[in-house]
Parts: sequence; structure tokens; C-alpha cells
Amino acid sequence: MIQQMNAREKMLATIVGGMLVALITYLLFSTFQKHLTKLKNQLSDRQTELTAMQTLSTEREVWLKRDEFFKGQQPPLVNPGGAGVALLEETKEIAQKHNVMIENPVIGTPETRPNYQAVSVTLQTKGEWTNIVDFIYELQSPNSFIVFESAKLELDASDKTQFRGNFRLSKWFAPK
Amino acid sequence: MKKTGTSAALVYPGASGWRVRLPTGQTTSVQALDEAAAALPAGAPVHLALPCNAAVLERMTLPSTSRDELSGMVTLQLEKTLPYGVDEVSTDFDVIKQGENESTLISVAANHAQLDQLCEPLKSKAFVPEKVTLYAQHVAASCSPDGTTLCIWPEDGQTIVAICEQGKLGYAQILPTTDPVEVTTELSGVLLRAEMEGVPTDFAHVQIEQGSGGIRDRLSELLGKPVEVFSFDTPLPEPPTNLVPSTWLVEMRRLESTGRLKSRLQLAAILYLLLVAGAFLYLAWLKSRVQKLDAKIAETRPLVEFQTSRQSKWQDMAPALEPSRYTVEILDLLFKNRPNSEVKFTVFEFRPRDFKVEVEATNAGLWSEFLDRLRKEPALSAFKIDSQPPKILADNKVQFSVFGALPK
Repeated sequence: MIQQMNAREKMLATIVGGMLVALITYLLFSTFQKHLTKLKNQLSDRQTELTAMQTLSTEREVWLKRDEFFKGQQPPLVNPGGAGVALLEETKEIAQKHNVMIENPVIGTPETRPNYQAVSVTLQTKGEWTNIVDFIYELQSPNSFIVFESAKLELDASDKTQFRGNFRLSKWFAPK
Repeated sequence: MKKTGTSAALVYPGASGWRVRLPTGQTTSVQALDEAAAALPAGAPVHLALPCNAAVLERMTLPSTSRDELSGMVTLQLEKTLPYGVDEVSTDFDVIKQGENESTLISVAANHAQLDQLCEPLKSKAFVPEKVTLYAQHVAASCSPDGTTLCIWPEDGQTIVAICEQGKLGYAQILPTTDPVEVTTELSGVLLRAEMEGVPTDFAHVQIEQGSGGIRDRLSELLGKPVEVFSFDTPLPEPPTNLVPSTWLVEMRRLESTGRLKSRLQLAAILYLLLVAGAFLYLAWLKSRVQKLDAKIAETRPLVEFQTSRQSKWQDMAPALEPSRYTVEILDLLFKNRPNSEVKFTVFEFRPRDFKVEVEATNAGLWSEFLDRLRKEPALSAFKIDSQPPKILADNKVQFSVFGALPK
């Protein structure tokens, strides 16, 4: 068929053929480029994810120990009804030890969260700055699982030697 | 004797139709040239041996021994005798014998239009013969170089009677029959005409093609000589003449150039396809690497999920477990970072994720110093420390609040 074409037709056919090849090349190249970028990104993401996972898995022993710690140290909530009273009693005992006066104590309702069961007590205190600090220090000792969900200390307006405190204490027992 | 052509395929006339001898030596018979074209291997060089009826033979005796001079003389002679112009024919000649000042030769001429028409089936399949000869000259070249030989063979339903002198074609006549009786009858007349043209008829050898075997005995009886038999299947030597038209040479060069271009384009196409295939194989390899990583991640995930859940639990429980998050620890850090005892806390508020302290100080410089110390305190680095500009009180003291919050 090409042999039957004249020079002009051959030139035209060459130009059309060249453009067709260029178009196909462009389409192939853009497809290749698109997939290459996508796959390289995927590869990089997966590599990062795997490296993070592998790094994390090297800390497995630490997390196993921490899991054991929770199992061994976090107190179970044996008596949900009496836990609030016990916490208040414990608080009063520490307050008395540090000459801190407790006012308006209220025992809260136990709350169930995914990682713990919280039993709370709301109370007000009055005492000297150092006594209140010692009271807080002893109350939130390590492994007591007691948390100050809110605490406010302010200078007593009527007596500048005294500080007033509003606390919401919570003890986090093991989850069900 | 000239060497036989073995690197090119030879297409030559047979007893009926054509015969093709491939470069391998294999010979086949076909009825027409389009069948011959189909039998040829692609790209093979082709030599075409013409039948006697496709050429004009003329025996001449010219007064020169120089080939160049003879060439000019032959052209002049042909201009007078041929029914076409000399530019419409391909001509060549073969010197049969030379004297001191003269040469006896036989010229061969083939009309271009007839050659084009004859070879159209070959040319349409891109087989442009690179050499065109007369088959009778091949037969003559196979004859003994000593003496005169009478050769008879059938060609497409006709019989060719040729007289070969010292292995060169000296005279040829076509008889329009292959019947042995008729051929034998007409042979005497043919030889008489030849003798009148000065062609020697005292034959040292007589040979016939095996297809004309029916006249062997009659011929032997007529000439009183033993008759040898040759075969079309036997390769014959190449004669020196070539009748290829110059336009064919141009066409052949064009075809060669097209062929080269085609092969380069094919090579380029192969390279292009290899490149494309390579690129997509690379993508497939990348994809397989991603899949392998996916499999590894899926394998590792259960191990990690346990740790992630414990990590999440630890973070959730941090206010009860990490001393740096204890109320008293935060208060202690705030206290320790006071620039001096003139900085007094009036209110301290705390929640597990943030704190606020209201402060009174003797000057505004203490505010910025206190803030700066808190921001540099490593134990409070997890908290974002912020503060509004201080308020100036009536007694020139300043009052300000400092906020600390963990990021969400």
C-alpha cells in the first residue's frame, strides 16, 4: 500500500504515523509515571509502617511487663457501693494526719470506662499551704491509682495564712 | 565454464511453465511466475533466465576486437534492425570468436515493456531480478568448450534448437512444436538456415534435454552422432550477459533502501516494545514488593495490636501512673521555677490535661522571667505554656495567669 502512495501521501502518512506513535508514547509514559508514583508512595508508606511496627515489636517486653503491672497492681472493684466510702475514709485519715480540715464531702457514682472503673469523691479543704501540699502528696502516692480529676487551691480571703481547696478525687479500679 | 550461481534463486523456463531453483539447490516446477514468486524465500536475490521467445537474438560479424567499440557497433546495428528504439530495450552481447580485425558475436535484446509485463508477478512481491539472462545462454555455457554442439530442449510447449560454439550460444531457433516427428522433420531446414548465416553445423556433440527424449533415436540416426541427455534439474553455469533494465536497478536500490528502513523500523519497534515491556515489568516488580510488604505487615499486625492497645491504656492511665502528671509534681515544678519569693501564687487549678496558676508579683519583669523558666523546664515540655500580659494593680504590683495544656 505504501508503494502505491506518492511522495506527498508518504510524507503525510509519516507525519500521522509519527504523531500516533508520539500520542501512544505519551499515554504509555503518563500511565507508567502515574503508576510508578503511586507504587513508590505505597512502597515508602508500607516500609515506614513496617519499620514502625518492627520498632514497636522490639518494645514488646516492656509492654508485657506493663500489662503484668496492671494485672498485679490495679485494685479490683470488689464492692462498688462501698468503694466511695472507703476512698472518703482514706482521704479523711490523711487530711487529719496533716491538719487539713475537710468540708462538704460528696461521694460520686462509680463510672465505667474502657480501661478502668472510677469511684470519685468531691470535697473542700481548708488548711495551711504546706499542710495541703503534704496532703495532696500523700494522697496521690505511686500505685495508689488516685487521680485529681480537678483541683483548685486559692488563698482564703478572710485569713491570708489559710488556703481553701476544692477537689474531685477519683480512684481508678481495674476494668470489668 | 562459468561458475554456477548458488547464492541467488534462479527462475528459468521449463518444458511447460517455469522452474525455480532455490539457493539450497532444490528445484520445483510452477505454471506461472506468480506461483514462482510464492515459492521464493522472502528477501532472496533472484536471477531470471528468459525463454528464447522473450528476446531477440542477432548474430553479427563486426570489424573490431575492442569490446567498447563492439558495444557501439552493436547498438548502431540494433537501431537498424529492432522494431523498438534502443532506449526501450536492454541489450548485451557475447563474443563467439575473434579474428585479427573482426569479431563474431551474438547480441541479445529484450524489450523493457515486455520484461516489465513478464516480471510483474515477481516485482509485485518485491522480487526484482538482479540479473536477467537468456536460458539458452545457460545451456550453451554448459556445453563443451571444444567444437560445436547442437542442443535441443523444450520450452513452454515449444522446442528450442540451439547451436553452441566453444560453449557460447551461436544460433537459436524456436520450433512451435514438441512432437518428435515434426521436430526431426523441421530440424534439417533449421540447420540449413543456420549454415546460410555462417553458423557451423559440423557438430562435435549433440545433447538434448530429457524432456525431448522422444527424438533421441531419430536425431542420432539423422546426424550419425551419439546424443547426450541433460536435465533441467542440473544447475547450469551463469552466462556473462545481463539484460536487467536500468529502471529495475533503481527500483531494486529503492526496494533495498525500503527494506533497510523497514528492518530499522522493526528493530526500533522491537526496542520500543522491549522498553515498554521492561517499564511495565518494573511496575509489576514494584507491585509485588508492595504485596510482599503488605503480607509482612499483616503478619506483624497482631503482635503490634496488643502493644498498641497497651500503649493506649498506658496513656489513658498516665494521670494515675506517671508522677510527672501528678498534681503535686506540677505544683512543685511551678513553685521551683519562680524567679524569687516575691512571686506568689493566689490560685492554682488543676485537671489531668491542663493547669492554671494565678500569680501576683512585684514587677512585670518577673512575669516574663517566670514564663521563660516554665517553657524551658524539661519536666513541663509536654505542656504548652501560655499567659496573657499582666495586669498592673493599684500598689504597682502585677497580676497574671499562666496556663499549661497537653496537646489534644
